[in-house]
Amino acid sequence: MDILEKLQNIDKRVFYLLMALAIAIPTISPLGLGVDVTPAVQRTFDFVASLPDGGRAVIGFDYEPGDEIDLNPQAKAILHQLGAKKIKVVAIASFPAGAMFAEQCLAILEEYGYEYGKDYVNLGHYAGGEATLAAFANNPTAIFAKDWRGNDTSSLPIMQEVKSMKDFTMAMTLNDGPTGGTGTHEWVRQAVMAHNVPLIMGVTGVLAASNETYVQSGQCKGILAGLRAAAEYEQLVNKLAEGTVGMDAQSMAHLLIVIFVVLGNAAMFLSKRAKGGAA
Amino acid sequence: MNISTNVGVWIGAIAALGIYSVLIKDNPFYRLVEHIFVGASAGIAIVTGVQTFKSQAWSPLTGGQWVLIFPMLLGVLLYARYVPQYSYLNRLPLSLMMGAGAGVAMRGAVESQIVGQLTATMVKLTTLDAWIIFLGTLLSLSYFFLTYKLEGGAAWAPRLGRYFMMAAFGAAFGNTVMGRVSAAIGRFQFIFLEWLGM
Repeated sequence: MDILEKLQNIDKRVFYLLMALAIAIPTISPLGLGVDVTPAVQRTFDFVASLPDGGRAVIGFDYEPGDEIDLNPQAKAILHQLGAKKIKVVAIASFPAGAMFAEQCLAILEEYGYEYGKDYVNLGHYAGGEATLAAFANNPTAIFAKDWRGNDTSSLPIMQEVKSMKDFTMAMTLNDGPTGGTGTHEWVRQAVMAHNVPLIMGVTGVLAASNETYVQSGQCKGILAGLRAAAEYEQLVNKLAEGTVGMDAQSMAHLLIVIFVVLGNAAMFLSKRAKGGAA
Repeated sequence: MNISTNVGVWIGAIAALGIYSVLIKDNPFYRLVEHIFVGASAGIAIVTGVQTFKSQAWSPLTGGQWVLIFPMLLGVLLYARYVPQYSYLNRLPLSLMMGAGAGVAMRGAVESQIVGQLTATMVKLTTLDAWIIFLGTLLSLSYFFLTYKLEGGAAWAPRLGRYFMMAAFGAAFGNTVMGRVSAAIGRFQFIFLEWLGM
């Protein structure tokens, strides 16, 4: 077997091992490669920065375990910005685990002197996807009689200020897709189209391309896509955390993939040419 | 190294290693962890379902919102499918769910996913980006023009449309790879930083 054939038939376990090393080494010993802020993330940051201080935001934690590596850092970075602007936060979740992630991320707000029930609340999980989101948009306390911690929502000061979706200065969905929960399309329909509330999205890398169209059409004010966007946002809010730590590993893993794609294709074309010449 | 003493972290780390062990080859350790994962997921779903029922149905009902008895009864009828002689009863709540779902979605779908997206393609052709959006939309649509086959000089339009779509698929695939790598990074951070404390 010549080198060209070997390159096309590398044992996949070799690739897995190299991938594990490409991720493990920068995780243990960060390389400090750095990340530039892209226009999409800058635009999202600028939009949130342009909101009046002391407003209200509703954030949908619409994701499951497995995607928290992309979306938890995004949530935490944007909560730092909301906290600095004293924007009150109402969290809801269309996936059961989303409420647990919300609880983890919202703890950041206490660094900014936020008080639970007055400045932020975690309403927990709701079933029913878009239909329930639409009902929530019309009357939030009718859907959530109790919050995630078991409090009566009508007794919470923050919920007494919110009578409908229109009372929010902005909406955000941290989203890993519509299967089993409320997707980004549903948020556009119920927050933007039905109530004219500005929406931003934080999505996994997989969903980036399909949702970018909403930003280009102006229906969505900004989009954060994947771990990279989280790292960029951490730079903008000056709170370097998990997103930034993960970017060295992300860069090395991508470099490895590119090398393998180039080598595999080059070997295939050269091999075909060699066979054609022999014939 | 400052290895974690948290039992939950240990269980999580061993489970992660078990799942990754399938990359070498299928083995009993992997299958054990996989089955535990499925069982735990089902358990969490049941607990959350009960919590959601209490929060969104039972508490308001006992608080005086008696009208909720009707959707709750409809919810119970969903399970009629497991009793063959009464299985037809589950069509009633299903029909209501489908009708309500379609109606709610229709509220903004036309404007958000058709009018809004079409409007976004009608841009001033003063930049390269604008030209790419304009031509990409037209040529991609031409690929799906199936009334009759475009031939001769017109055949280049669907061909170019296919190239535009392939570029979009490439971007989507690249983002997918990024997402999968992120998931692996999350587990590696958990193993090396949270479990092993490196």
